[in-house]
Amino acid sequence: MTELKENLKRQIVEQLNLKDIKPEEIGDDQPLFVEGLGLDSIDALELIVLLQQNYGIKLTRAEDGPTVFRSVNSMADYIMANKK
Amino acid sequence: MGTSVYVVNVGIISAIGNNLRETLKSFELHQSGVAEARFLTTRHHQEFPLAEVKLSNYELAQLTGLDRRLSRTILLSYHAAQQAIAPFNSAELNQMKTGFISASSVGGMDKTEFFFEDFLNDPESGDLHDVMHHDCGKATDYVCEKLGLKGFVTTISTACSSSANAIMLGSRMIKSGQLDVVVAGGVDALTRFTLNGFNTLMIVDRKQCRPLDSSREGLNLGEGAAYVVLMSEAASKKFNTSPLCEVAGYCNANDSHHQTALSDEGNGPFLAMQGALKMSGLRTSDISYINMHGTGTQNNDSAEGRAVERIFHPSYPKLGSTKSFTGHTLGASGSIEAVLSAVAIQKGLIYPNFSFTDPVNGLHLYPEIKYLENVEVTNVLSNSFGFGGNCTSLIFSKPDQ
Amino acid sequence: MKIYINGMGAISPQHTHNGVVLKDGLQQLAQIRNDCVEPEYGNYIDPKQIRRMSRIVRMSVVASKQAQQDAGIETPDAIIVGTAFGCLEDTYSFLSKLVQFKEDMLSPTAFIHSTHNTIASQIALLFQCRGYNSTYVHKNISFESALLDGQLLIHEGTANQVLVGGVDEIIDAQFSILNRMGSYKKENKSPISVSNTGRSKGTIAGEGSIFFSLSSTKKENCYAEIKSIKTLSFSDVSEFSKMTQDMLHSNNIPKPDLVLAGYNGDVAEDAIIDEYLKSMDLKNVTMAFKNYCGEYGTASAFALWLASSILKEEKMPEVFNLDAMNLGKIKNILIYNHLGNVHHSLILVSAC
Repeated sequence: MTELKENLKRQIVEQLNLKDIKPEEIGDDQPLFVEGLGLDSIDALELIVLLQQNYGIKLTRAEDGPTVFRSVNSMADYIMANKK
Repeated sequence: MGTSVYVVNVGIISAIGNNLRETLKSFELHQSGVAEARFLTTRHHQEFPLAEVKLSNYELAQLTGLDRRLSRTILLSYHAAQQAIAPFNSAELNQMKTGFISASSVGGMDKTEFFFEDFLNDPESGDLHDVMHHDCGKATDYVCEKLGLKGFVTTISTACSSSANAIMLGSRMIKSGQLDVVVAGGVDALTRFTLNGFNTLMIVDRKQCRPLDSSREGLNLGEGAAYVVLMSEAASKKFNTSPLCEVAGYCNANDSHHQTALSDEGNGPFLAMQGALKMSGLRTSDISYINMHGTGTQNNDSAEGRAVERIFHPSYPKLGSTKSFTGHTLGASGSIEAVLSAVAIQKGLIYPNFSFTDPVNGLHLYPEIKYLENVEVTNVLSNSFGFGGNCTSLIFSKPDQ
Repeated sequence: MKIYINGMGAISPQHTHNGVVLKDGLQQLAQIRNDCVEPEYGNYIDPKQIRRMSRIVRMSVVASKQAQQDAGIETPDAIIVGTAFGCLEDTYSFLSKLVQFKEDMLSPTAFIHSTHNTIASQIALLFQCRGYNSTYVHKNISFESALLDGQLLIHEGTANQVLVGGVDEIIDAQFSILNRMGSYKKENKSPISVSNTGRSKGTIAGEGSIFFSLSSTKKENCYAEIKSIKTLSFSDVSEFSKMTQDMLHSNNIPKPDLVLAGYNGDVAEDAIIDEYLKSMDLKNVTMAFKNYCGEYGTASAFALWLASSILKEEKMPEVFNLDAMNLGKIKNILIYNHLGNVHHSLILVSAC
């Protein structure tokens, strides 16, 4: 799980082109949207692509985004629950 | 201030008809142009219904007399523009100061995306003819030259408000005396680029779209072209025209909130509609019908709806979205809907929203669901809102009010 | 009503990006492909915002900020951009992934930023400008169209501080494609010039993002007055000469002090310019400008920047290190450009 979260942080920085942030600076439970990392709705769509490209999971309902992408923890939980 | 600007003729092609007569028939028979893709080659052809023009490139070429290897954008554009100037002789038009102002969001991308399949494997491969029409201006040039128009020419690209802005610019140039006659409008052909692009935003419906309905799940992409012939008072008299309507007001404003979504309060749409109304000198109660931008996305319909509420509440005119029939034709949508608005005034028509059950949450907007004829339609407000917060509203009025 | 240029910002293949031309002056371009000299973007843009901006947008944000600062304006009333090819980098990125991944797992960011009006809209977002916003995409008259619209807005009273830009970028794929089409020279042996020795087939590529703050109010920092903008399409040189004569006559200018002509080094293209200048008897006061910016759709924006810089001092600025051609005082400059003898354009600017 730790490895998954480390990978996720690295992938988030890469996919969203967060040049000024190091993966290790992202807290496991840090909110990703609004406050915290301050991501927005376009980033949410990019994270959907990240899930599909790296984990083969397709999120088809945009409204599930806020729950799934709340933090690295919630993303890791979702991946573990849905990975094929 | 300045001359009046008249719409003296129109041309149109979309999923619901290859000309005006067929288009009106589709509304009358309540037949939407949204269906399974037949012409666009895409892996998503069974997933997303599209509003395609029901002609292959070969058939379009036959109809227009143009080369079938041209970009679909050029074929559609010429087909509609030719209809618009059909009653006129271009040599006679050229004796006055003329303009051709077109618009498109992706230009000749339908050919470019084929070129890239080869080019990406090997930079020396790919047929160069397929990229010669890539830029938006190319289609405009080709059509302008074929129409025989000489004078001012340009192309606007502001996403889904493009052709509304073309009509607005044409009107402004006539009002200022710089031009006498302008053929203005726009075109977009369906491409994999566009379909996949909108799909990444998760705003494309997998079924027939339901604009202005609480159950809406996105838009249906469409394609088409439409042009209006605008004339000054003097030109209109010289060519002995019977105008369909007058361009009474227009306004472009920027929502300045987000690149693909409108602000919750619909600030850009509000400013655009308010500006157009102010210019026209009309009261909200003078508006007979609003042709909403009404794409069917959660964001547009609630933001636009909120803006309409801010201006018109508690007394709303008839309103609806014709995109439920034509699909969202992107760069062509402003001019397609301008044509429909002009004809609504000329013939006394109100177009139906294809379907409707419950209004957008929190709003009280009830679109028309029946095609109405023999209605007194005096002033029509037409909205077109594009990515980048680009918001344009046009107002058309019965001539000589 | 007069239209003044009160501020400018230019990113070009020359050292123009910090608002100061370096002491070596403007340099004749030596390569076939000439990319812009770019600024340190971190000095102008918040890192959180840079991450999504493609190169063409970054260049435009900086150039537009500089133009605004130069004019002493915080928020423009309107923003209008001319771009012949739009955002090529993002278009290429989305298109190549579309082909590579066979229409699956595509990124929304590249698609959103591929739309031609993303430049004008991102600038509007940054300045929180809710006014008129438009983008023109018509080949070598994209910038002129934007300028005409800006002029019209000010005359209508719709806006008084209008930001107008001309923007185009080079990317590898497009350079490669245009090269295959024979657009570019095989070697850049002789610099582009008015003289017809050394011309050959093809031109050299350039790019740029150049913004102007226009207003009917003349500011202390004023560079120039835009007297007239004209385009003529699908006509011929003789009709265009007549249009020029009418334009000069109605502005009471018998002959401009300097002509900046869009020679691009291609034998056929430049022959058209020769014919036009000969018909107007203007060749002896003409200099080229694409030898400094290269050929690209909105190169006339560079010419306007050059003209405005000259008019501010009413002579060739010493820092440009260019021969003044013994012209005397320069109070009026005519910018002329064309492409393929299809679209001809004129911009007449005067000292203010």
